[in-house]
Amino acid sequence: MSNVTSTQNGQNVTISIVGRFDFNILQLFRESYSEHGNTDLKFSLDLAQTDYIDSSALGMLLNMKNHLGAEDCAIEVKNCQPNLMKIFSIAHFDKKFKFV
Amino acid sequence: MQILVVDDQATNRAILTWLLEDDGHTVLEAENGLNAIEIYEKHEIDIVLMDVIMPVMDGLEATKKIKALQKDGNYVPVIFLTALEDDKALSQCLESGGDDFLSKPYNDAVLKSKIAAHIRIRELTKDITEKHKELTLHNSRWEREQNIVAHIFNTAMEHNLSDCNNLRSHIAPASTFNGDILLSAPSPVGGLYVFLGDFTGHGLGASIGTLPIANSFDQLALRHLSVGEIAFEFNKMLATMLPDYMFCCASIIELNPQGDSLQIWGGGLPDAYLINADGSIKETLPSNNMPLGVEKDQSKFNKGFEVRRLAEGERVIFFTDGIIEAESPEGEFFEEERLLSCFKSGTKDTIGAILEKLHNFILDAEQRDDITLFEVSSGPVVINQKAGGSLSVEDNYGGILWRMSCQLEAEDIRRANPVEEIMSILGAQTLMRPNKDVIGLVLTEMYSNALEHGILDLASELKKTEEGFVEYYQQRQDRLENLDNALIQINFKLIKDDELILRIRLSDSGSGFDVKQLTGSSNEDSFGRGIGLINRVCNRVEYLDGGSTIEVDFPVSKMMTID
Repeated sequence: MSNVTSTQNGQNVTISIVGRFDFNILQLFRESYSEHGNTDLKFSLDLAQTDYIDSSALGMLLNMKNHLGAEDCAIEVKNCQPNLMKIFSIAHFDKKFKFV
Repeated sequence: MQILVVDDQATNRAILTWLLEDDGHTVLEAENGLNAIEIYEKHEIDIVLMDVIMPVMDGLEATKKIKALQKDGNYVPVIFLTALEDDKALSQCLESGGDDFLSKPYNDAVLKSKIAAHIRIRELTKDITEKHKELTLHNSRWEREQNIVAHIFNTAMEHNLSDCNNLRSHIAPASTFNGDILLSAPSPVGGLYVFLGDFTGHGLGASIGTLPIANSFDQLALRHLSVGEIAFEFNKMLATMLPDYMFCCASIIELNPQGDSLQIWGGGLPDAYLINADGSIKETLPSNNMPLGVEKDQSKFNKGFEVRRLAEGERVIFFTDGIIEAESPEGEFFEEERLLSCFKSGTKDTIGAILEKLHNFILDAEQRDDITLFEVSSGPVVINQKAGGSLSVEDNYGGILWRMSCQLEAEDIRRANPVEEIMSILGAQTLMRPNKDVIGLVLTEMYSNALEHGILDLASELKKTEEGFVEYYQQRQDRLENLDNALIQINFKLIKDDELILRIRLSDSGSGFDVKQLTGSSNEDSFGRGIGLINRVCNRVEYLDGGSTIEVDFPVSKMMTID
């Protein structure tokens, strides 16, 4: 089963996704970033334990970016596995998010 | 015991015979040296009592001949009984091959105990000879088996070390069998995987565990698993295979094709180092996990890994503990401090510097543990494929050009995502495996479009706003639950033309949809991305039957790379 957790450390919020990242976790994912009222937070995603994404995940990521009003590459994506990186690259997502 | 009494005086022989037979021995008599040799050759003699001065052939000469007749390991003691008393004569007795002497007139008790002592030596010698024979046999069998096993190990390991410009290594086993293991393999996207492991102990026992690892590493690399997942697979394998007291300290890294990013999983090996272009240490990289084979509970295994950027000229160095624990002839350890002194600003060839320092330290001391180290440097990965390498299979594919089709009815569609099931069949093919993720993506997008727009008739514009996005997937779920009477037909066909192509044709029972409406969206929008993805990786994308059929050609031969 997929799982979304968000941990706040000072101004930094890290959202971790375990398992499949697709529309089945849409609600959980939205809550993970929209529940924080403060707008000065710095968001990052930890995909170390994410093993699948599809285009709905890409859409959800863009929604997150728009919702937060984040600049291009202001949101960091950490520990992206190579198979997922391939998909992000094909979609040119490296122009929208910062992969570290 | 069978005792040969040699004396020219019949009385002497008779007294001895009487004495010895009384003690339970069998006695054979000879009246001179020549006669003694004849009897010795015909009978199994255990001990010889020899007079020195006799006609025809004297005792000294006879002893020489008898000793010459004795084969390896058959020790038959010769005891001289002599009236001679001078030192020279007595030492002559021993020089001729005699084992002991007793001066006449002898004391019965002394003679008996001498005989008993020599019988003990004879028994002992017999015993040792047999053991020696057994040992020699075992040894040659062991050597033969060792050769076979060494051959298997060497081929397994050689096969696994790619000739890669980014990788330098040094391997020095302490014995024929190495408990350290260094493997490397190209990743399907053109990067490099390296595995360094150190099994507890060294020698054959420690080596055993390296075999299954060497054999499956290539396969795991081909599946493009993350370093954490590879560690998970190895841990599972070793935890069930190894006895509790054995495990494997290991580091697994993956360098991306550009050679500027490194993923690291470390379990139990000494600190590794990230080195600046000038040779100084930029960062110490400790191992964060338990060694492989320790955690028996798979659910507790940590698949997490570290990611590091590698700037130009930067490199990482990994070691097994054989280096810091190397001993000098005085029994002093090499230790971390000596190792760290090799990472100086200005040192270009760090490995060379370490090996030189180590060599001057160990000198002629015996190496106790296996020593292995490797360095991976930044820069685009260049792997010089060995002749007959396995990655170019696709170019001269001579296999079957197969087809596969499946028909999904409402029930199948409602149940779950059938793409996953199909991909588990396709992904098992060696040919498809390297691009499995991308093919899976293409198929998912084709399927989603057919289902969402063709069959469920959902409107893509809905996804323009965040609220709509949620609404869209809510509608998707509702309509899917109430779905009956729908059909999605998927056909796969492997085609060999100029290149190898996987043609995927997917038809749905819906009324078709306006393709243009979907493809016009830009990268900023959160919808319509699926078709863009398909267009980017397929050679040909065609819509038929008013949008209810899509056919794409996916180039199997091409390795999808990250650009």
